Amino acid sequence: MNVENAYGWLLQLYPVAFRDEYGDEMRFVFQQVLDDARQQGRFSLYRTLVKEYLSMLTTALNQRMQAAPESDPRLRRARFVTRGASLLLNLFFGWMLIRIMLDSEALYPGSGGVWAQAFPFLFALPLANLMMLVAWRWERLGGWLTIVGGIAVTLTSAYSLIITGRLMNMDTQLMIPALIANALWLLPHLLFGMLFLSFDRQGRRGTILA
Amino acid sequence: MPNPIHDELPLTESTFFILLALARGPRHGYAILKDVTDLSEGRVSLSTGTLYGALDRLLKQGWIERLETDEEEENGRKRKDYFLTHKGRVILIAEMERMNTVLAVARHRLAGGNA
Repeated sequence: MNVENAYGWLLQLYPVAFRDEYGDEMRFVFQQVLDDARQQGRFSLYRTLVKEYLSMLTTALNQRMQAAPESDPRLRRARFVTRGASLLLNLFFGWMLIRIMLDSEALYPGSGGVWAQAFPFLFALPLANLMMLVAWRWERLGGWLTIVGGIAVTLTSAYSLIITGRLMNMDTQLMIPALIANALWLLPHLLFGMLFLSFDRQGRRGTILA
Repeated sequence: MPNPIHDELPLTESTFFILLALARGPRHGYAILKDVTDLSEGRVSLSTGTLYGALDRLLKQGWIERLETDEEEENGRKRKDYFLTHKGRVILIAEMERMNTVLAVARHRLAGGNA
């Protein structure tokens, strides 16, 4: 998938009415902006791509807020805050994962370290976080997937902990509190998953009552 | 007596430059984007998403209108141009007058006046 196709696909983040009205024009303008940036060199191209995609997330969220069918402004505000917080959490976890990967040589594939043990966790965490973004579009599906993803993150993290603990002859008395602390991974996913499910339920109720 | 136009002011910088870009006649999306960058000397550089979010809002406010031209884009669809309505022009002029007043007061004060 090239960047133009990705942009066209990401237009789905916008409400249907907005996409139908401006989608084609936006794709066309994006294409021209990219052509300009390409002529100015690679750095300009990357900068333009980052700017366009990031702005797409914020403007799509804004348009969705405006197009939200519910009349209750509190629900609209709660959605906005939750989506913003889930985006921040995603950025934080993303940054944390990159730091872990860069800082720990033992996590490099083929290093003979704990790559194999850590892989399920390193795979599950970004996937579970992405599910929070899926919930922006499909709240019920995304909400459930976020909770399931959280459980997967907790289990894979516990697995990595136990295996590496054994390899390092970790004391059982230390292992138990570590496993309890590890359960904290579930909290943000459970919280956001339940919030999205709640918004979905309230939104449906509002639609039925309207 | 309250003036409804003044309730709309001040405009954001991007709104001001979009309206200003359309002041000389109809423009399509990409031309507006380029014009805004040029007019603001690079200070305001809109992304495609921001531009169309703003255009959508301005259309709903009745400050601009959209018309389909005979020219075709690469995808074969008719190109759409945006133009300033009378209301949009009035708002733009009111904003310029507001900025002029602010500037006059600031200049006067810097020159040692009491106003």
